[in-house]
Amino acid sequence: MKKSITLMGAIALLFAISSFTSSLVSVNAGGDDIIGLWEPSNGKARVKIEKIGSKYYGKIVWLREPIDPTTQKPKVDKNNEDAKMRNVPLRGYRLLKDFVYDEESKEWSGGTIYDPESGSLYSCVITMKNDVLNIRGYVGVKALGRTDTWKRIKLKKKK
Amino acid sequence: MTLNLKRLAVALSFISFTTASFSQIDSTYVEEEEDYSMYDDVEDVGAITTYCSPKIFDLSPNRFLSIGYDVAGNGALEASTEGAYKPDAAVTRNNNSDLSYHGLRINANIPVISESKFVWQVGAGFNQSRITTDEIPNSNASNRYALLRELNAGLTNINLNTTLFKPLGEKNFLILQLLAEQAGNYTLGSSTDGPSLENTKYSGTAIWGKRPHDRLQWGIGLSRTYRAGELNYIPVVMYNFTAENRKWGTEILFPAKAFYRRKMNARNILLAGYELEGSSYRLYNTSFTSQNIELRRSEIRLRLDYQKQIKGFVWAGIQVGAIVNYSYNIDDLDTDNKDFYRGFFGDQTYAFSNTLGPMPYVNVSVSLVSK
Repeated sequence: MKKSITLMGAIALLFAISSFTSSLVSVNAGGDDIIGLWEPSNGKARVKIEKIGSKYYGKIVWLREPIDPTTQKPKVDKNNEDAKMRNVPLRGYRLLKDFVYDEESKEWSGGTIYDPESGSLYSCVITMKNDVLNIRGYVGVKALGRTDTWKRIKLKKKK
Repeated sequence: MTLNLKRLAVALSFISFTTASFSQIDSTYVEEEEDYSMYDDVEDVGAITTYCSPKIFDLSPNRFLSIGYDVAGNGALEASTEGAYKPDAAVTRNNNSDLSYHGLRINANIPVISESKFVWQVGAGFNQSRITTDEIPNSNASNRYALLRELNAGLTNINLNTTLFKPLGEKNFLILQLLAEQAGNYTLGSSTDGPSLENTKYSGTAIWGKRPHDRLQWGIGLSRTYRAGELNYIPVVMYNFTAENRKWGTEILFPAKAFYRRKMNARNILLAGYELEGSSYRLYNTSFTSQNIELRRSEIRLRLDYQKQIKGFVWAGIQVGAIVNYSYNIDDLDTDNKDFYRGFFGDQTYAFSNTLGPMPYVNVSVSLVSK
């Protein structure tokens, strides 16, 4: 009896370890490499990519020109198709949404990228190589798109 | 020992469960307050070169695919008989008719490579002009109405084109455009009246430009073009500009086109200006003496162009304006069938010397765009 309980315990342990490690793999395996601070190629913004739940999001945390020259107020999302969103400040705006990491293809996909300059929302897929992100926004199919390269940056250490 | 194993198993299962549960909390995620000033001072980790964008703010949308229909007429065609007419000669034109046309316009422009450091697009176009004229006498005894009979077959233009954009750093860029087109009075699917590959016309434009900031892009270059109907080599000037208030701007590639742009909002744009359109149309299987003749068709389209977002990336456009004929003459390429350059000062003769009067036109289109 005691032996059979031990066996059951061992099986349960193996199952739990397997379950735990697989959940760890699905949560971390390479996907979290994207977390951090990034700068698009035009250098006009800085975007912080973070993980919320199982998905990755990126928000604008810095703008080179934070003040709208027309209104002399902080820039807002004035080109948004949704009129209710047009007063939302661009700083803090989540322009990358809902990305899921695919271990097999080594890419973050299933998400969208928003272009505040045109008010357009594009489907998007992200790949990374040597601290450079290739961010491809596209219309319908990947062929109808454009790839931008973002470089990784980090906060300077305070002296 | 057994108990400990069970406890560990339960504990690990719980951690596993809570990890999985955490992945489902997106909708309840609460944004933390953040001090954004901490992002002012940063240092690079990744290394990339910054390149200038091929666009500026608020340019009218780039069309991946466009399907439109064009209706124009009536214009007064005054045509000569077949002969040899010096460009500045006084010509008696007594083959007159009202002319109108309508037809499908389909254009596609697909990015093959579209990255910060290089953009390469490939496109294709199909433009049709179904021409109708006044009633044409059946008599074949003279060539008095021969031109009208040939035009009645309609004109078709099929083209392939490619555009390369190469940024040279943050401010400068190069643009190269190449176009190969088959223009003529042929009918697709017919085995007897063309088109023939040897009559393909090639055009190209190279531009060097500067993009000082997000609202201005200018350039100068050279073009080999058939927009004026016959072969021409001309300088070109590009000037795309958006005002600081983002309400208006210009889209100019002189002399091919020049538009004033008024942005009502991000989803409604009005353009006012002109575009020079043209090509050299091979006239196949005619009853003329020469068989290597081409209609040097060119027109200035003065127009108001209203573009509106329908949904997402689908836009509709309507153009209303007038077509002012620039050239409707016909050249004989002689027996060697080689095109030639007349330019503005050449005195090679025309086989037909024609004029076509102005006509109103409307064009409606639906496009899949990228902004």
